[in-house]
Amino acid sequence: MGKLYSFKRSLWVFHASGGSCNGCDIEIIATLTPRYDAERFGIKLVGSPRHADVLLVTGAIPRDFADKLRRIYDQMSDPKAVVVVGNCGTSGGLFYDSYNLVGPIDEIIPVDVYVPGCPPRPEAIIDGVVKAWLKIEKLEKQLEGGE
Amino acid sequence: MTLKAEEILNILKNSLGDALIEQEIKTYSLGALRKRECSEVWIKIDRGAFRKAVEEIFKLDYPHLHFITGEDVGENLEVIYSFGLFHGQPGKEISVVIKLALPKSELVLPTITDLMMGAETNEREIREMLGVEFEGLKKKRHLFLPDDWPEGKYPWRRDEFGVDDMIKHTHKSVKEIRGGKE
Amino acid sequence: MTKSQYYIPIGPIHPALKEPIRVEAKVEGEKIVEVDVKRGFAHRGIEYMGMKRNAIQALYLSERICGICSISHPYAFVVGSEKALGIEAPPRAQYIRTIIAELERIHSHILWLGVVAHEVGFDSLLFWTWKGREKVLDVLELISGNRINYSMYMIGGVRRDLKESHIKALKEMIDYYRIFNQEMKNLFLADPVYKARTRGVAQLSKEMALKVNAVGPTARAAGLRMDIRQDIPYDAYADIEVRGIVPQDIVGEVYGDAYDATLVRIYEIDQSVDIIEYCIDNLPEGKIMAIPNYVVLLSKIKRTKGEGIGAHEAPRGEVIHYFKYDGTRDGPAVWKVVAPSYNNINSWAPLLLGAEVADIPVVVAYIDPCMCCNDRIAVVRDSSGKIVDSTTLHRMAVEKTMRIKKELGVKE
Repeated sequence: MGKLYSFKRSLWVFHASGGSCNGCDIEIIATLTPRYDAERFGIKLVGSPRHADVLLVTGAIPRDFADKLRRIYDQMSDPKAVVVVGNCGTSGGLFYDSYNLVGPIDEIIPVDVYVPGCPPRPEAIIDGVVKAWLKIEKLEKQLEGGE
Repeated sequence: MTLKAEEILNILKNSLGDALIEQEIKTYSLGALRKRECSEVWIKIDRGAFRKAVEEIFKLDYPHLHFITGEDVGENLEVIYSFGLFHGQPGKEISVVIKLALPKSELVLPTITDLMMGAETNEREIREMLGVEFEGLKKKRHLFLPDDWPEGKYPWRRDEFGVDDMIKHTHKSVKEIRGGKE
Repeated sequence: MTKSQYYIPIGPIHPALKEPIRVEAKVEGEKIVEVDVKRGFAHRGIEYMGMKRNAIQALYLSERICGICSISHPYAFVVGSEKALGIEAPPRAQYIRTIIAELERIHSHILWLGVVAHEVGFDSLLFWTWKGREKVLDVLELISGNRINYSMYMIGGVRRDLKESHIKALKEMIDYYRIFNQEMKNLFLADPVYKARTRGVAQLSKEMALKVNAVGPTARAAGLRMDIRQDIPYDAYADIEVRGIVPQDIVGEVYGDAYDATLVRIYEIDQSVDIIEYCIDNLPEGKIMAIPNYVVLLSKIKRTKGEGIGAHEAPRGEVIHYFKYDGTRDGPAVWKVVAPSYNNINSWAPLLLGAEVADIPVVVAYIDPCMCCNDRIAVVRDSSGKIVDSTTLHRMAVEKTMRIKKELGVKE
């Protein structure tokens, strides 16, 4: 990884859960509690995808959630990044032969960072979000430089 | 006041008569250092006497419905109900398990939601997983399956109404390992 | 007074965490007049998948039905399978199983207390309780290797043993939680604003609790003495004489509302700490698995025919698994799972009728819904078709708390 730039602004994150067992969701909330404290980096959870920079997705997606996920992705404005948390979204996980799940998330929306684990530790989730943050800063520089 | 498993079985035998096809009392001894006895009453009855058996159980004590499930055994569907009687009395709860066989040509059962409101969830699930109709059930919307689920596909059935063709294998190696015999 | 249609979003643990559930409610002014709940947006087909795999794979699948009550489903699985197959676990394994189940009960109840504090508006209490929860997660990680999804159980015993260092850590944790629970009783039960906010909200009577088939702390808060550890004792509970906690034993009267539910859960944490202490002091020696070789275990399952029902008292209520092994394959032929939230959600309909819109987050959190054991979606729309989102609803709930605070004259 290259030089670590100082983060110029705070990062707003939106969380969407598509049929997950909630293990990953509880670990995401645990990153906000005083022990791991993601808010000291400026990471904040917001209530609408229109305000968000990073989308955190968990779970293997059931049939009727796929359209909603695409709509959430389209509502976000550039530059944006998608972080998949957990094994279910990365590759299907344990649920590899179900009649209602439509498979890993990268078949529905483009994904930037994968955080595998069942569930991954809060430190790993913060690491994943930071990697997505660096990618967004690089994209922003490209957008400014290109104009 | 509580009853023992044998007494419950006798009451059911007297009221159902010939409709009682099979009966069994299972006892288990549970516990680590001090063993305790736990008994269950398992009966198989004729489907016409179902409503009578349930009303007999409700007369003894207001039960707790544990679950309703079913199995596809070729010609028939075997539906299983489990009630818990005398809950709240330490060490004295007795489960009564009722099994019925329904022929696939006539999958109809009377509902028990007039006796117990909470049974509606269980009956709606059996309706969409196995295709059994409950007469008298008011809300019939899909509970767990999506609203646009195709007609005639019941996940727990093993015949032509099953869902084996709707599976998505997310790891390609699974299908190769199983030799494509799904 | 005009009628307006509100569809309500339910269940967010954090205002930005979207949980899927749909509760459609018709509202007149501030009161709700009609309710319908739709579930089924995260259906994964677990029972169908389990019927195609072998018993050990189905055990690990059942662990991931829920991430919060993660050891309750394997516990019911193992108890039911042992009854159906005729295997008996050695005494040391049974005690270790009980210790892990009670550790999970502590962490789940503290999680719920944080959620309810957040719904009512005491945000710093959310962070304080979740910080206190980290101690029990550390002990679980020391024993089993992971904070969630421990994978300790097996048909016929447990997979890992308790060592001396674990027992020392457990004893330290017991002292910590005795002090922590005392502070929580002061913060939740003795606080006048919390009492005024939750007394009379989400009141469930004994008859209604029986009719909707309620289980767990929801039924106990209504006054029913219903607890699987007391009614059908198994493992170490059979040696201990556990009694379900009901408000009439502690304060003398029972209302069945959200305040009583808080009371029941805080006293259950005390009970869990006592049970763990008894199990550590009386831990028997011996083996930890009846059939340590998995190949032998699977071939025994393949030859055995049997049916069994396994029940366990999870933090949210009663979990029941039904099995049928038919002697042709090495896994269950029929498997049925009933999670506690399956029945407890039936209580939303009668509880929400007549309640105010600002009380909806409290009513929803009152039964401690486990989103994944069922699945739901929540969307709110008012009569003009505009979507009212969950942050507005949460803000209304907090505003009501502020009003009550002012009425009581509590100084900041």
